[in-house]
Amino acid sequence: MSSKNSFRLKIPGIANNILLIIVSAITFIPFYLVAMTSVTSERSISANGYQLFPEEFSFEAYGVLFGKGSSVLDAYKVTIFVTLVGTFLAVAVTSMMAYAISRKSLKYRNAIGLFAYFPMVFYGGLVPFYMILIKLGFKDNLWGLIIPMLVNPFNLFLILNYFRTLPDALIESAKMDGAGELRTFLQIILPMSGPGIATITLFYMLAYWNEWVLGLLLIENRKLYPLQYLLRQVMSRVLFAQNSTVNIGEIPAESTKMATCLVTIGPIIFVYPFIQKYFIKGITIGAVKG
Amino acid sequence: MDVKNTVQTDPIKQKFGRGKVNADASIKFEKKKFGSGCELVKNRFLYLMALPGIIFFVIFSYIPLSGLQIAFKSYNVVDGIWRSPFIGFKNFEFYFKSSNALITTFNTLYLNFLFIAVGTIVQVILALMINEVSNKYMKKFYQSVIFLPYFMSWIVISAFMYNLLNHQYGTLNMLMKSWGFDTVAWYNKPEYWRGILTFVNTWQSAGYYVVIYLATIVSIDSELYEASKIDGANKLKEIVYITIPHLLPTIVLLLLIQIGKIFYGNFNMVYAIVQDNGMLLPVTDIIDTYVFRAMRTQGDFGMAAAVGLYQSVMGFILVLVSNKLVKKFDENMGLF
Repeated sequence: MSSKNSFRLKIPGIANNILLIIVSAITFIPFYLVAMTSVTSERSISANGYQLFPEEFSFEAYGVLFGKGSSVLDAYKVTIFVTLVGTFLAVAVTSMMAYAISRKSLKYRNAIGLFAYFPMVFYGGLVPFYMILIKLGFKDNLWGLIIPMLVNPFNLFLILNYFRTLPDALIESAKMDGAGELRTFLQIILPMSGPGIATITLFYMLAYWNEWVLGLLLIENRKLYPLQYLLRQVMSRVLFAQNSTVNIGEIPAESTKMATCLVTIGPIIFVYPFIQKYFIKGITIGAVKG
Repeated sequence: MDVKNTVQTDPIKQKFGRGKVNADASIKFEKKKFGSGCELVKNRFLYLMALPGIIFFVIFSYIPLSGLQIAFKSYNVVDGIWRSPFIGFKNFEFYFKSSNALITTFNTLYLNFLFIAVGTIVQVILALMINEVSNKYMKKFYQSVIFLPYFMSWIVISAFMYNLLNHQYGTLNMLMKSWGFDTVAWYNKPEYWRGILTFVNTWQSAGYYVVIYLATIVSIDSELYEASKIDGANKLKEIVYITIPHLLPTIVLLLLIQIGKIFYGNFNMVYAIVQDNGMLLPVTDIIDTYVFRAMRTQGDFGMAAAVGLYQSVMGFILVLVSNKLVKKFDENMGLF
């Protein structure tokens, strides 16, 4: 190839990269801004608003968040509990159901599959759903944040497809060795389903961590606010990050809002590089193949 | 001739496990003693494993369907669901006679339309651009950055927007001030919000779809590209004649799936960002937020249920229609 040709090929390549860098910058700017404004002193925010770079650094917002009377610590406990317990139960219930459907020897498996599938297509609406939640006693109850999310049809079919790729011979040989269904599932199928289980585990964890509508519908007790709902209350000034009877004027409100936002997304950003590939795999398998 | 010997030489018994050959060589099977109950007993552990999931769906997806009758009643807490007075379609009348029906339906459909149209264009272009990047580390970098917003909750995103758009402190206004422009009270100006919501929605979801499109592009046979190079095609021709045609099935499929859901607004997004801001309602009030308000703020369960039912029925019809279209396109790709 002549050098003129390869030069011509380079220009679009460089332009392409420049454009993508701009897009990346635009995508990333909100994260940057929230981080920077959370360590800006409240004084400089009151005077000059949120700036691209802090005029005056201050960690006072974080002092409020992790000091005494902080609602953030309570919310963290709530969210961590809900996420861990919820994810464990959700993965258990979902994968067991998927395993049953995947077994060709099960006569009613198609009926069960359809049964799980129909809600994806017809949704009864918010009102009946809310009434059931209340009837089940989920108001101000942490289990109300856990149980309504136990089975996500998308995840169900994801792990179902994964189980289907496992050879039947595995189950048959387990059967011949005299293993019951549960043992086969726990000791043979699950260990072989690492990637699939990891994928739906992460999907559920993200869903639980980010969930706020259930908190909105069910939780009135401030001590039980999940993290996202707390952030919402902090943002709308309904609640300050600190419950103590400190003079409200002394609370660094604007920087605290940003700091609260940052601690809400903190864990996700930390684990993002590690979990990304599972989401990519899960989405491509789930979405493309329907 | 009875086949009861222990050595299974009889081919029928070998194949079917049981059976007798009658005198005239027809086959007669022993009748199962317990019918379908035998199946439930035989595989009881499997059904037990499926049971928690089944109960889950019964409670959260099927029982609520019986609560839909509230849509036809004047619900009050004292009488409960079953004894509240039946009022026929009055709830629906209330909604449809008011301008709310038109506004919320239009907003729901139009916003979704914008999200889908703008979103798809941006996603496809981004996927094509990322695909053209030669350095594989940069490729991964771009994809990672674009995918990141997908992991944020809408509350977090609403905080991002607050940071940018707040009238008094927002970064955008501060920048405008420093450049000599007047500040804008973004949260009070409904005319900007279709654009703002579309932009934010694209920002949040582009990564998800880019992942799918990139996976599709990667699966295109590289020999096609090599062959086209030999025929003298440049980059642009490659994209137009090879990449895009191969992407088209996926694009159409995703479009149809999204269109199927066009009657369902993104409550999570809109309510997190707009909250109860009355000024923006004419532009941002979708059916879902209207139902929520009717239920929580006004306590009108009957009407909220009616509107919800309307949405579900319309949504369901659209899903059926879009699924039919998907199947016309490719037999295997329908939802059902």
